[in-house]
Amino acid sequence: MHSDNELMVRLEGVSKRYYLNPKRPWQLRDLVTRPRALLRQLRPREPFWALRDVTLGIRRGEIVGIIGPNGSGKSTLLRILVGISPPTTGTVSICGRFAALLELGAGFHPQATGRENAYLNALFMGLPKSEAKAKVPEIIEFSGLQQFADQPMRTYSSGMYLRLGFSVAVHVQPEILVIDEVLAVGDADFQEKCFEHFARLKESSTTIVLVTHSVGTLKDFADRAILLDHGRVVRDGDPADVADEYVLSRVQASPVARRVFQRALEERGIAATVSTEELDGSNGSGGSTRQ
Amino acid sequence: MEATATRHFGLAAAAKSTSTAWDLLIAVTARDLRVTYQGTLFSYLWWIARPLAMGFVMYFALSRVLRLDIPNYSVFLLSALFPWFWFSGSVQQSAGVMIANGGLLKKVRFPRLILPLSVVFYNSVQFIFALPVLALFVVVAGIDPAVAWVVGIPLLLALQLLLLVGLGTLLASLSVFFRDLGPLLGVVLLLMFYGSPIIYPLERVPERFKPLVLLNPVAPLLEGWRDLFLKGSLPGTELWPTIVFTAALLVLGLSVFRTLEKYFADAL
Repeated sequence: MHSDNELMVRLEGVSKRYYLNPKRPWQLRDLVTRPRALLRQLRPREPFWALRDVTLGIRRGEIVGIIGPNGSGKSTLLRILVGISPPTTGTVSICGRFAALLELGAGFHPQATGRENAYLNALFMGLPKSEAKAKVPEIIEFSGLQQFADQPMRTYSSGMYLRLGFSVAVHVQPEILVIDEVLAVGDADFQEKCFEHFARLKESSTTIVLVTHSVGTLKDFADRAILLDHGRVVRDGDPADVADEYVLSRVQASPVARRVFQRALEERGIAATVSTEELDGSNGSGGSTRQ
Repeated sequence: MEATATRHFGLAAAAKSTSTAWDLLIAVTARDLRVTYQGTLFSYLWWIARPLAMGFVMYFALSRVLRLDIPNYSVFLLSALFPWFWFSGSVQQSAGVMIANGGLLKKVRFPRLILPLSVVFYNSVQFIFALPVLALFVVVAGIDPAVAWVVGIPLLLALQLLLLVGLGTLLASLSVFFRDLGPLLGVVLLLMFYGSPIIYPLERVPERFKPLVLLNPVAPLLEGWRDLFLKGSLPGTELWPTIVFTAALLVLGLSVFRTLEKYFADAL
């Protein structure tokens, strides 16, 4: 049952549609003041596809990095994967217990102490009471916050939030660990500690899905990378290749980066032009929402 | 293509997750109680202060100024005001709890039912802690504690708790999609307060208005609490409409919640 090839997560043809809110939601007074605008509201709302036809499988013990520009659908993908939000079309299946760290401090109560929050957060992630109680000292120790464990969370810095949140997530012993871009807040020491811990989790066949903006993280720690853009999977494969493609696409998308890159090439005596065609093409289809 | 989400859990896992959800509910309620009264000198006495203050004002205005002639009017008022504040507090907070916890609902996967249930539990615990104070007022007014309390208190507690669970889950799930619910409830609760037999006895309501007052399922419940403390008598058949209403509301509230819960994260 626990073979290494076992699919832990499977998404098939998953799309997610949101509706864009009208510029101004209508109120009763519009009946009098703006009846024409009200009629316009009756038309179907404008759909926005945050994910389009995503099909992927993740195997036991894989560390998968997800990368892509802002608004490419990374967080939506994680939310669907974790089961917070239902897909509009397609199927999602997940085997095993997972823990998710989608936002810094989600589920922490600012007035409660770090220790109380650690216990409660472990319960939120599905640990039974007895286990949660037993884990709290370990969680506090891993976070390195022993000195502040009994202070209310409102006194914590964002780094301390991350330390506690991450510690809980890795100590509930999930089979699948899902982490949105939150590690960036930690200092170098703690980040190193996290990645060391990932390596240990990997040995125990924990599956890790990680959203990151750091190409370095992707190359160093992921077994596999997925590049998202405009809600589609653009590339799925070797982290180094995907990272290069991502960097290149970013360079093409940004005039400043393009200029810097061009100058770097010229300084090295390489005659090349960074193409802008692809970018202009994609901009035309995806960007404007005006009518 | 049809959208489906499959989670593979066995029966044992389901039982385990139910007990875990229960643990979580208890822990969230305990945290909210602790956090509310942390650092306050009078702790949960603050909860009792509101029905007492309201009782004092009503007593002064109606009994002393307007010379309303109702025996034991202070106990008469308090025995209905305490359960009313339990009711209205739970209802009002149920309609706000999902919006207040929007971040949590969008970012953490947990049994959504925890949120409205913790609101009801939070208010119920405070009411239960306030009961000895109510009993004290009854005794000071010269009424002997009745044997009927032993049966009547748990009975009415259970009935009102179930009523609030049904109402709380219904209002919590609707509040996500209908933002007017919070202010609307403020108005409805105000009307219900004066429309319920709290400051006046049901028997003094003119015959032609009585059906209107009894349309309100909380009225027999409040009368039940009052008769228990004032006369030491157990509620009788007049409670049946409330029991039926509670059962219907439980089914409606829980099924509406179950239907809508998967859309909460996207709607918030």
